[in-house]
Amino acid sequence: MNKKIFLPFFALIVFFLFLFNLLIFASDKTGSDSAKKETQKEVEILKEKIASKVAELRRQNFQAFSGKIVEIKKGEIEIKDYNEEKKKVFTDDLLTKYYLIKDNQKKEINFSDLKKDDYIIVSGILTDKGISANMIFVDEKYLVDFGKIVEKDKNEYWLKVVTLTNETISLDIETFTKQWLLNIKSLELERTGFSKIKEGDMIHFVAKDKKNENNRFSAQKIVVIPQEYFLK
Amino acid sequence: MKKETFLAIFLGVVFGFIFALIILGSISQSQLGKKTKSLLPQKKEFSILPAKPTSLKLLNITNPKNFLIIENDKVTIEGEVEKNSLIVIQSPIKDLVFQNKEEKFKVDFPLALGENVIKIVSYPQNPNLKTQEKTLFIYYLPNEI
Repeated sequence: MNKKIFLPFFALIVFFLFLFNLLIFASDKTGSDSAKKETQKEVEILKEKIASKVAELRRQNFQAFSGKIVEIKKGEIEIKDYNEEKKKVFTDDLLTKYYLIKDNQKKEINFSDLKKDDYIIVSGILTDKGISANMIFVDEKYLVDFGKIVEKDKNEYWLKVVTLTNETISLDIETFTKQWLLNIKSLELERTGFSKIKEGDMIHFVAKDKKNENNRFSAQKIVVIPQEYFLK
Repeated sequence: MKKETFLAIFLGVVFGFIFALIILGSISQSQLGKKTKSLLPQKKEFSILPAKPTSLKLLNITNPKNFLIIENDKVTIEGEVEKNSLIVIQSPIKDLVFQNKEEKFKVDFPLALGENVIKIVSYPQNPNLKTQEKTLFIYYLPNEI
């Protein structure tokens, strides 16, 4: 090849190789920059996901404990839960807050307002020693149960009920007791009276967990499922 | 400029461009490949275990968890039980009675401030099956979480 042709040709090759290198470098830089941004974005998304998952888990696992006060002294309360199991609750003069729940409203109270046999809800952290209470709510305890009516007293308006666990409960049907009967055709609940309740029917009831002067529970409300439903 | 010089310049430009395009093409293809791979759905794992035999469904409450603190004044109760059972859900503030057409059921249930004892009872249509019950203790304590 002629020297005059070879030199410009060689110069051009070098020039384009340089240009090519520049292009590669530029594309690499753009690629690595966008990759960095992409990674940062992914990290941010991951952080957000972890934070929301932690919040969700916290919400899902934030539990409360409830029970009747069996013993109370400064900084420590002993409760007996629904399982008759005793639990210790530790209070803090500065941190623990106390409320009374009544008529679907809460009112702030003091530690000194708590007394034996009060039913309390404790929110806090469960440790090996007991519960470190953040908040304590004094609430009403309700008995919600069901069973078969085995006896009906028409004179004193009470019912004897045998539950699924073979426990016998006597229920007073008071003037304030809301009484519902299941319509077995429409499966709708209808208002009813004591006279329509029969021995053998199933009864679902809610009562305050404190016996009255007759040593029976006063029913707040009842739902009766007639025995005929089960004979269909 | 001589004809040969012009030809050399032209060939150099063409050669340089072709070479650059080939390399850039291969780079962008490998990047696209990576993206496509991440966009593809992940391979599902298939169980080799045999399908569960159809059996009688026991009352199972899948939501909510017991002893949970909730910030809203209602909760969705979800569960499963034998089809066509009569389900009674009772709390101090609400009574709900219905028959489930499917095994799974889902109902919204109101909550009162404080402790909510919710009793869920199922009476199966089949008289040979026993009545089942579950009790939930749910705490509606707003602003406590």
